Order: sequence, then structure tokens, then C-alpha cells
Amino acid sequence: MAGSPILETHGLSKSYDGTVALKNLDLTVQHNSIFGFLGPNGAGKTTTMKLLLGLIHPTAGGAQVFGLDIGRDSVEIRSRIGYLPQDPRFYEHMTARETLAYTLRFFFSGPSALLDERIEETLELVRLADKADRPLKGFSGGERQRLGIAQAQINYPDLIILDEPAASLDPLGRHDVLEVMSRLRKHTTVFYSTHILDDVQQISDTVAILNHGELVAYGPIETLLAGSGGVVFSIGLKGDTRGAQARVAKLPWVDDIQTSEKADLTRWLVSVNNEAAAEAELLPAVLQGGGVIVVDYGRKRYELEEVFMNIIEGGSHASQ
Amino acid sequence: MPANKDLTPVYSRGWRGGLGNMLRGELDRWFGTRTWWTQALMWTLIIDGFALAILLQDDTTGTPDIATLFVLFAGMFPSIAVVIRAQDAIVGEKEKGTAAWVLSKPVSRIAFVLSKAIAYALGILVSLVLIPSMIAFLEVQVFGKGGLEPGRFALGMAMLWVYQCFYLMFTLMLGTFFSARPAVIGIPLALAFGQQLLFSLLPSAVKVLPWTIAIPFGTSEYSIISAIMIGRTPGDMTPLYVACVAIAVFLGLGLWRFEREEL
Repeated sequence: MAGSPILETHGLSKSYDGTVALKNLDLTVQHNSIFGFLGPNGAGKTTTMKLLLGLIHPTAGGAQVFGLDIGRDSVEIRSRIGYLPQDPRFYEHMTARETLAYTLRFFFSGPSALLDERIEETLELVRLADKADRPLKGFSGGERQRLGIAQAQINYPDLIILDEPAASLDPLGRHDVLEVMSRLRKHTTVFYSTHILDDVQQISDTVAILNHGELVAYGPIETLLAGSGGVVFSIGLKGDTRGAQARVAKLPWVDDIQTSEKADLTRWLVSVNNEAAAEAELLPAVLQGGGVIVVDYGRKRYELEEVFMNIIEGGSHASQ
Repeated sequence: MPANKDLTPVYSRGWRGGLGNMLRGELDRWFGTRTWWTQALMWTLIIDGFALAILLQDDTTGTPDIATLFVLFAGMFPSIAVVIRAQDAIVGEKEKGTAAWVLSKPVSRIAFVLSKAIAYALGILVSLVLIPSMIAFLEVQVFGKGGLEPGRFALGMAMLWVYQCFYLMFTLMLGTFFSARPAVIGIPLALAFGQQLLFSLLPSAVKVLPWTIAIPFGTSEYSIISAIMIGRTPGDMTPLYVACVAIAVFLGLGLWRFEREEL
């Protein structure tokens, strides 16, 4: 369904005995995108996922997945979804192979040879082929996580929901998960939560940040990274910068200049209120009097961690 | 890798969503593991071993007495096993997180509970009723005075199954209402063994509680099942009819409650 979103929430809310776990969540997730869901512990990320899956019931609001209502059409929705819970739990008496077979048979009934082939290749994908016939009782946390990823995508879902997919994994495992998620984008939509901000920055198209059950930031990751602190230019300079600083500070579209020194390099962070004017006139203004060497110049690129901390600790709101 | 279009999709939706696979999994958990034969062996040794010991020690023991003793043992003690196994079916899965995992697949809440009810009922039928009962029948025919009519004995076995299913469905239902195991185990066991005390306080309760289905009470020489098995006229059959209705009510309540469960 090109154009229409795969997932939409409208005022989705959940309270437990008066405690608000999620408040008025309005989100849209587009097809074939990777949507990163961030927030501190208790922010409401897992609550949101469980509401979408019908594991818990909303207190107010609703959502549509594939255009279907999460209350009325839950079984139909789940027939097209793959889900990895936080800390996945499986039947201990089963092996990895049996777990995948059991999962796959909720979606497909045959032919057996093709089902076995898919199970085999999924085991290879998550590097569990050599442990496929061991009972799960002896599996480590990382192995369970990899099995969790396997069972989440074994039915080639239209939407895959991952709750902390890289948890319990070593750096190699984490790298594999990110690679799998990037590859999945071609075939499906990925909606996942994580604490690992580097991962979100690497692969996500859109990011939403929750705090205390409320959506505090939401939008394409580029927008979030570029715009959260306003428009700021970063300039690296050598030489006597005092004259240039005084000159630039007088410009009407310059709000603030923060300076820092390291070795013989002076770093300016110039906050501006007119992006177009700054792009045209800032660099000429710096170079005008001579005496300074511009080592580097460009828009300040925020790291997601910086954005995240500003939002969570500062309590500021940025929206799409 | 095979594409989805090469595979045959499962189309069951609504209340039957996932029922087939769930039922297969639950039956496999009983019959595909050593559970079924370890349970059968244990209760055969306990119940039929005891009966055999009596038959071998005292060759004057009549068939009615041994049948009554067998039904008493086969009713009262396996009900403990029924409650202990059944309490894990739903509460255990909620605790371990596997209920949430399974219900993230296209499985209806009804299918989740129903598959357990059916699989456990069949497991109880085979391991706790059929196998010990058939061995008891053979013991009486070979070592005792015989005289058990197969048709009546089979009817008695069916009633014994109903008796155990009462405690099964009661425990499953409690598993949907409570999240703590002590309540889910304690209440059915208290009911199973505390009915006699209750009858002294409320005599009319004997008509509605399942005690007399398997265990003689008061001046009655035989329970309902033992009377049927030996060809005597059973006493008041009301407890058996009430048990049948209660099984349906417990199952219905359990299904209703689990629809509202938050996982």
C-alpha cells in the first residue's frame, strides 16, 4: 500500500491504577523504513509495542496497523508481524529448531520440505545452526537473543517489532543485528526500541523519543540531529580571532558565539537566527579582516546522544 | 530461501486463530515427552499396586469392595497430580513470559486456553484414567473374583474422567483469575480434600460437590462410579450432572477472563 503508513497511532494511552504509562501517542510509521524508538527505562516503549500487539489494552485512543484496528483485528495483524520481546522466553523443552518450527507453523502449514529449508537458513542467518538441536535450557542470553531475532523474522513479516534487539549481544552480535535490520528494510518495515544511540544513528530513518510516557521528539533523524539546538555553525580557526569575533558578534542574525580553545585551535559555535544569511555571509565576515586561518567550517552535526540528553534532561520538546 | 508465496499459509482467524498449532504443541508436550508414561506408571504402581496387594493378600475380597477401593484411590489421589500439572498451564506461562511470546503470534486468547484444556484432558484420560483402569480391570479378572462387565466398567472410566476434568477445568479457570501459584494450587486441593468437612456444616452441599462421584459418603456403601462399575444402582446422580455443567462453566469463565488478561 504505497503512500499510506503501515502503522498509525491516535492518542494512544495506557494507565495502570492511575499511573500513566503512555499518554496521547500520535505516531506514523511509513512502509519499508526503520523506525527507532528511544527513551529511558519506563518511558513507555515496551508498553507501546504491547499495545500494538494486543498483549495489553489501551485506556484511551487507538492505532491501526496495515489499516486494521489493534482492538478488533489483533489476530489478523499478528499474522503479518514478527516480534522480538525484551528478554525473550521460549519453551525450555524445545530445541532451537523446534522453536522455529513451532513459530513458523502459526503462519504456514507446508510444504514440509520448504518449511524445513526456511528454518535451516534462518538458523544459519543467526549463527545457531550448530546449536539447533540442543534444548533451550542450556542456551546463553546471547543465544536466546539470536533465536529471538530468528523467530521474529522467520515468517517474512510485513512489520517487524523488536524490543531491545541488541541487548545481551557482544559487539559482533550487535553488528550482525544491525546488518540484518538494514537488509530487512528492503522487504519489511522495522519498528524497534533500544538504548544504544549509536545504533539508532547508524540505521534509523525516523526516530521517536519518549519520556515519562510522552512523546518528546519525533521526526526524520536528519531533522532531529540538525535542528535540535537551532542552527549552529562550527568554525575551527587559527590565529588571533578577537577581531573576527567582535565583527561577527555584531551581525544582526548572530545570536551567540561560544568559543573553546584546544592547543592552537580555536573552536567557535555560532548560533544564528537566519540560516540563509549565515550561509551567504558568515564565512566572508570571518575572513574579512584577515589575520585568521579557517581550518574547518560547516553546520554543527549533533550526535544523537547529545540530542537525547538535551531532550530528556532539559525537558525541551521538538517535533516534526 | 523459500518465498512466502511458495508456502501454504494458515488462514484460521477469529477464535480459532492458532488453535491447530497450539493444540499440536500442547499434545506434544504431554505425549511427545516422557510425561505421559511417567504419570501412567506412577499412578498404576500406586493405585493398581495397592489393589493387587489386597487381592493377593486376601482372596476373600469381593469384586465390589476392590472396585470401590480402586475408584476411591483413582479419584482422590490423581486429582492432586491434575491440580499440580494444570496450575502450570496458564500461571506458569504468564510467569515465564511464554504466554506473551505465543500471543504475539496469530493466536487467539480462546485458542490458547482451549488448546490446554483439550490437551490436558486427553493426557489425563490416557495416563491417569485409561491405563490404570484397564490394568485394574485385568487384575480383578485375573487375580480377583472377576465379574466386571466391560461396558459398565468403561462407563465408570468415563465418569472418572469427568471427575478429574472437574478439577482440571477448575484449576485452569483459577489460573486465568490469579497470577500467584499458591491460590491456583491451594484452592482446588482444599476443595478436593476439604469437602467432607464442608458436608458436616452444610449437608446439602453433598448434592452439588463432586465428592460422591468417586468416594462413598455417609451411609452409602458405594460411590456413583463404583456402583455403575459393579452393576448396582447408583445413588443420587446429581453431583455428576453438576460436575458436567461446572466443567463447562469453569471453561467459559476461564475463556472470558483470559480475554481480558494483560500480559
